[in-house]
Amino acid sequence: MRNRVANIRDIAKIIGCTLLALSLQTGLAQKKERMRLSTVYTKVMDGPLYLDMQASARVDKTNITIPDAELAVYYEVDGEEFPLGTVVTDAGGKAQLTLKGMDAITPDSTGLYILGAAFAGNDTFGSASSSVEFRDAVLTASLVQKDSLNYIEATLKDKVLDSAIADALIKVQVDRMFKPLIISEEFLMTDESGGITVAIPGDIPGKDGNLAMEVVIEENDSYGNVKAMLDAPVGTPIVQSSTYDQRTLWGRSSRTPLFILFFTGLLVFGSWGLIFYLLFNLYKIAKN
Amino acid sequence: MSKYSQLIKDVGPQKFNRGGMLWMGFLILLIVAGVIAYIDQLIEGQVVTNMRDYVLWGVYISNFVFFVATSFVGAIAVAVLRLTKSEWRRPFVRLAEIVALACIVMAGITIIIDMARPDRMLNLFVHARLQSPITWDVIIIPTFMVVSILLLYFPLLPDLAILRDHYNGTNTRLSKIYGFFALKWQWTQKQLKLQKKSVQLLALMIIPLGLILESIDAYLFSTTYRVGWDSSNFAPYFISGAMVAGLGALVSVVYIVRKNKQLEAYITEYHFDKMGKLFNLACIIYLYFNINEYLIPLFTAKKGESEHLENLLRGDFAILFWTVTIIGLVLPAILLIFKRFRKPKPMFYIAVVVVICSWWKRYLIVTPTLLHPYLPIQGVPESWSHYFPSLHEWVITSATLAMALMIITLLVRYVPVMSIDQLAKDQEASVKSDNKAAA
Repeated sequence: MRNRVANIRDIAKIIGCTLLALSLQTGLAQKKERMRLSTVYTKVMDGPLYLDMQASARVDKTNITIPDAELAVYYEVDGEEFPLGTVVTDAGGKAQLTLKGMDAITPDSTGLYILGAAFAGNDTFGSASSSVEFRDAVLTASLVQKDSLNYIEATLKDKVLDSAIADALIKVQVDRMFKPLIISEEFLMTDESGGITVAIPGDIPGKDGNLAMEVVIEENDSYGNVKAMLDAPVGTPIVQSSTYDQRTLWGRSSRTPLFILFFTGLLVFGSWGLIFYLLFNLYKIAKN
Repeated sequence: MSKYSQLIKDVGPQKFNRGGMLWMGFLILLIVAGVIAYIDQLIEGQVVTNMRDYVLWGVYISNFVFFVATSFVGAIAVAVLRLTKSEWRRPFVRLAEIVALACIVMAGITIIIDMARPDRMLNLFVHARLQSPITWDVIIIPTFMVVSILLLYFPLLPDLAILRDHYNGTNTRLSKIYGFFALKWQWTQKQLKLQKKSVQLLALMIIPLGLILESIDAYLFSTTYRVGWDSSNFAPYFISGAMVAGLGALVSVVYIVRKNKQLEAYITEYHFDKMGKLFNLACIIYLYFNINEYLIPLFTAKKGESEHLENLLRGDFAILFWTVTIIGLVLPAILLIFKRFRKPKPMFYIAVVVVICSWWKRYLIVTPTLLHPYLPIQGVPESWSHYFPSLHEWVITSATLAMALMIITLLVRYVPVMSIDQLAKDQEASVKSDNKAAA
């Protein structure tokens, strides 16, 4: 009897080991890489909202970006998800969804918005999701002049609570081609009334003296990224030295430098004139 | 039997023998394969090539530059030697004109092959910017082509008339064809005067046009800021390279024609020796420009340039670069100093190696530079940062080379390879001189 029990135990062990091995093998064969998904929310005052997404993974101890991943974007209210659309990541693993304004999404009863993106998974990567929570902030900026000096004044408020947001990191910058030019001090914070005042230097060049000013809060825990923009005609006008209408080597065909027209014309008409003369000689030879 | 019969038999048109037929069949095969590949390229687009964001000018442009360079032989062998009254040039002149014509025609065709949308070719003229070297190229290539045709045609007129008369009665069709092209040539004083004047004018024209052609070809590269191309040395470097490629091609063709038509009595070792000296001079001049182009910049090269040079001298292209430089230039320049290597057979082998290396040299001029862009090219597969021609590119390029060889073969088949008229005059003059001496 003992022997039989021992045999049954042995058989059970063998079956158990086999099943374990099989399940491990199946598990290894189906092992998928883990996708990392991040979402960043940006609001432009009197403009659109952006949800920027980045898909990446760590494969063989190397961070890689994931292109061509289809992400479903949604907003969430009280645990229920509402679809906003789908986006596909580019070669750098990035995607962006643009919403016309805050009206496109709904907050919960406390005024908290949740935007998220989800990846359903494919042969290589498992499913992944990421969401961002934020409250709606109102950032207003205006240009004021005091004692012949120009200042940007800005105020930051919580829209739902209608209260000023104090101690929020804020910066004032001028939009430039490659990178914004920051004119505020490094760690400027809003005061108790949610306001800031920053002097605008008088020597910043701008087209016709116009400066595209930006007041920005970035990566705020409660409000995300918020940007207010305004045009300030307080810069130094740029003197345009365009050669567009001049005859230059880099000009369009109707603005060819005269010396090139002359020499090319001389060579073309000179050589083709001689060629026609030679052809006429052939004609004369044939007629002789 | 006319005074021309023996000369026609020796240097005139000859039917293809079995080897000739096989050669033509081989060329036709390559051309048909190339045409099929080109049609596929037209249908599918240039995605069938390996040209991508980095290397936009691949083997087609290298091949184009090679053809342009080789066509320069017309200017050297015909005009320069004619104007300097070098008598030893005579056996080479007609063949040089043929090689030049075949190469410039194929240069024109090759540049069309490189166009992704040849149906828009007219835009090159309609929207031409005269500031652009590409426009200069569009102008100079047809000009050089027409002048090359005329340079071949004018001296050929008496020979065509001789062939017209020769075949009259024996082969009416050939007689009519030669008669049509002979333009009623009757050796009248007026015709002779017009022909002489025209040939002299053409000899004068082809030199500046050849120099302009090669210079513009160089400006296509040197007017950019690209490393390896942005060089004021480029135009003379291209001209000297063209002399080497052109003379190499000429020597190869002359040797094969001499052997096949058994022209040892007409094209002697003396002629080869003289041509060998010119060939040697060309190699030495080109070597000098190569030193200026690759060695001197090593002292002053900035980062991009030095990376490019490093790539050529010690990197991915080093084997090809040193093969082309040593076997294709340094060695010929040394060997041709010695008389024994200026004999027909050794010189033929040297010339063939020089021509092959000249082709690869153009590949080295075009490709490595494009792999080093100043502005980063982003979001493209890593494989695009390397280039080697695709099968389509190889087949099409082989077909263009086959077409050039076919043009040469057909012209050698139907046109006297040396001026029969001139040879007859020389023989008459020689007989008169002998008689005078005997008297």
